[in-house]
Amino acid sequence: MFVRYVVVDIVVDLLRSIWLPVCLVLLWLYASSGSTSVYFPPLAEIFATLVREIVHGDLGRHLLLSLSNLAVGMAFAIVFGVACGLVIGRAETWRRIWSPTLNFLRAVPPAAIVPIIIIALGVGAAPKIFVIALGSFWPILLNTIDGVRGTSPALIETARAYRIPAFLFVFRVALPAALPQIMAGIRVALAVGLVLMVISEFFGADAGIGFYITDASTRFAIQETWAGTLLVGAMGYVLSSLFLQLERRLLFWYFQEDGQASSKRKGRRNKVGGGQ
Amino acid sequence: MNIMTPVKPPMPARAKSLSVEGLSKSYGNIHVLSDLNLRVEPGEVIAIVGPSGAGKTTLLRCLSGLMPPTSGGVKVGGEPVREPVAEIGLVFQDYRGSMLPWMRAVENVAFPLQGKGVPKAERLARARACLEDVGLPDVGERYPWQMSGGMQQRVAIARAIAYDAHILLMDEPFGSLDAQTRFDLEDLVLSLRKQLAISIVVVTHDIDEAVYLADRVIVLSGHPATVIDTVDIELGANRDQITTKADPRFAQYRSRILEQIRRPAAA
Amino acid sequence: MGEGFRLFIWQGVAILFVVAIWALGNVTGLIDVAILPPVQIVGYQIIAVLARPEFAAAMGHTVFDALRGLLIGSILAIPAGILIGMFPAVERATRMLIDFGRSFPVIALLPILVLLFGATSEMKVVAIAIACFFPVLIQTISGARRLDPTIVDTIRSYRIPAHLRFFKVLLPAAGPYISTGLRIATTVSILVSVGVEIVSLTPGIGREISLARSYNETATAFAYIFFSGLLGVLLTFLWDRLEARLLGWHLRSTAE
Ligand SMILES: Nc1ncnc2c1ncn2[C@@H]1O[C@H](COP(=O)(O)OP(=O)(O)O)[C@@H](O)[C@H]1O
Ligand SMILES: [Mg+2]
Repeated sequence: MFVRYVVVDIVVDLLRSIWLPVCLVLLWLYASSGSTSVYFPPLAEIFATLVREIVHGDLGRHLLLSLSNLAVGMAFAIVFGVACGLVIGRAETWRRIWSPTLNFLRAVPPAAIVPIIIIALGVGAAPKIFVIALGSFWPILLNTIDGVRGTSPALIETARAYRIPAFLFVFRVALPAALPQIMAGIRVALAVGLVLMVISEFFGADAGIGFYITDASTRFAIQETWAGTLLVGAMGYVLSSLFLQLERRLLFWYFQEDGQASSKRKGRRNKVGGGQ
Repeated sequence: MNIMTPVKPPMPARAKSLSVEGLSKSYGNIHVLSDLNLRVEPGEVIAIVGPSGAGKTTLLRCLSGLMPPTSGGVKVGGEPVREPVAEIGLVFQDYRGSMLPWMRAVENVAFPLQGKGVPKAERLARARACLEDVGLPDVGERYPWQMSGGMQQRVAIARAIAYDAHILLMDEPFGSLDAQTRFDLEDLVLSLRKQLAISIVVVTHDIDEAVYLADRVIVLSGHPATVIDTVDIELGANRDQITTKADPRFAQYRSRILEQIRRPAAA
Repeated sequence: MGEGFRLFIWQGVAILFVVAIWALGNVTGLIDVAILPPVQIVGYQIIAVLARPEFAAAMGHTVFDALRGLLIGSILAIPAGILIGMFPAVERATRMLIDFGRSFPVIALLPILVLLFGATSEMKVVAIAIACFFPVLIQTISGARRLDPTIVDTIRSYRIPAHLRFFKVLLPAAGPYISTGLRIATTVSILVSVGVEIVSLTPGIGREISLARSYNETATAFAYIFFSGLLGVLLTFLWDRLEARLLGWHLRSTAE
């Protein structure tokens, strides 16, 4: 009996959150089914194209290539962003001295340097990785600085009173304390990285999901264009959902605590907003 | 200095005294503490009382080496304290803030030992034993946010003990707990003191608590704060919440201290 | 006073330091001039582009289209956000869609948008509006959901009618969140504006960057990049000012 109720609960729960998306997709399927418009092919055909291109074409290869650029670029950005942020965040004078410079650099639209880097460095993976790393670096850096600065003085005092050595302090106190902010920064950086991944493949590239989409659109292969675009959307959704899961895992203590009392911290998160 | 000696267990050989000589502290041109002198013998419990804003936290931070005094000095076992030293364990008023929320209770207790280089198995075992000493045998696996304030403060005490501190400095440790929990923790402090023969300096604005816990109460007052009175509390080594607090001498100590504290305010 | 001045000087030194590293890279040949042209040439071009007739027009296009997109996106997002936030069932049903939309890199829509609208300013505005819609929507929803339970109880016990509840309670209460959303969206609008111009060559700074680059005038491209960064700094600054005014009550009531 009890088990049955639980199952029913889960199903009802799922229905509550997916009925609208499902309805919209069905509506699109239905409305576009007889479409003769060049620009809005029937959704069913787009799906068919998508499956065909993945199974028989090289859409899968393009996607993997793009993802690997994204992963490597993000990895660089995370390592350097967090490392620099930990240092700058601890040194208040340094932070103040560098803040105008940093604020300017992060305000530069990362897309702006794409044509220069890509055209100068050629079509390989390196320039794309560089662009992704550079663009993702700023939100991670700034959020890490914020996180380190927001570390509760009580924790720092405790660590000092118990003579916690520097390396332990960094890895077991400073880093975890700043982690909610760092993760928020990485989430923004992921969005930035995704955009840069696509843009960098719009320019002189011969592979990658961005290349696939522009290439299809210049050939007027509308179904392929739609299929590629939907795939990018799905990829973005999957990546950010996975990231959210990871965040919940890593920050269990943060969300727990938040549920309890200290809602003060909530506002601190994600000051550096804006993916795209 | 102080000849009052209740029956005390034998001191461990390493136990050290804490002494403060001519300590003054100013923040910029605000003088907070002026020429304080005091001495805490091994095994002694000292309470420092004073009105809010008197400079009690400032004094404790100077004692622990977290903050340098403007002039004068603090010595532990004759050695000057400039940075936090291994002999001192600190218990903060802000128990929530002083626990690492990403570590379980036992990890929180063991963490300072990791800093000392104690191997993992050993430090965890010691942390568990200390949690047991403070009356928390089964909460080692809980996270701080899964514990009540009283439990968290017990964990903080366990951390100080596990660190092998023989001078415990406590800054209004039970100030934000409810009355019943506070009494329990006061009794815990008294029993630890008997068991472990550590010296304790407890800062409080609660005069009852000061008299109940201490062998000696030091009254701080004024701007800048000075020691305006030192009261030896001769209530014996075995105290309990009901009989000790009903003792007529308890009331006498209490009103004497209260008078001292209120005098400058009225003037 | 003296303290502030010292800081100011040091901040200048930090900028000079970056410029010096740049110059050193050029001189020693460690930095490829095709990627980063000599600092003095870029410096000269920063002044020189100001005199170009297309400069003001490009700036105008970028800013104006960004603001149009921002406006359209926010006008749609704010009421939608409050409605969604008011009803938990709606919030549940739309969550997946919103998560999909917010994680979609709008730039990837560009080929389709160009097919539909052509490489026009309208197309750019649509892209910007879509990109700005989501941050504002998400913040507004959380603003509307975070309504203080005591306020909710008060409203219910005094039986405040729905329209009053919307305009007099929900909207102001969500204000700080909406403002955060708008701030994020303002940054996004410029980023997307420049991004779209670079890719689709619609008029604006991005187009000038792309064109300068394709004529091999990298220094000019960097001059435009400099101004696009300046634009971002300026907008953030203005937004901070505006926010401080609009939300005075919030800053005061949360000041601890
Ligand atoms: N970091 C500081 N800078 C300037 N003044 C301080 C600082 N810390 C404390 N004070 C001042 O010193 C006085 C004593 O503070 P404190 O030691 O916290 O008092 P208590 O703990 O007895 O309440 C107070 O007037 C307080 O305002
Ligand atoms: Mg205090």
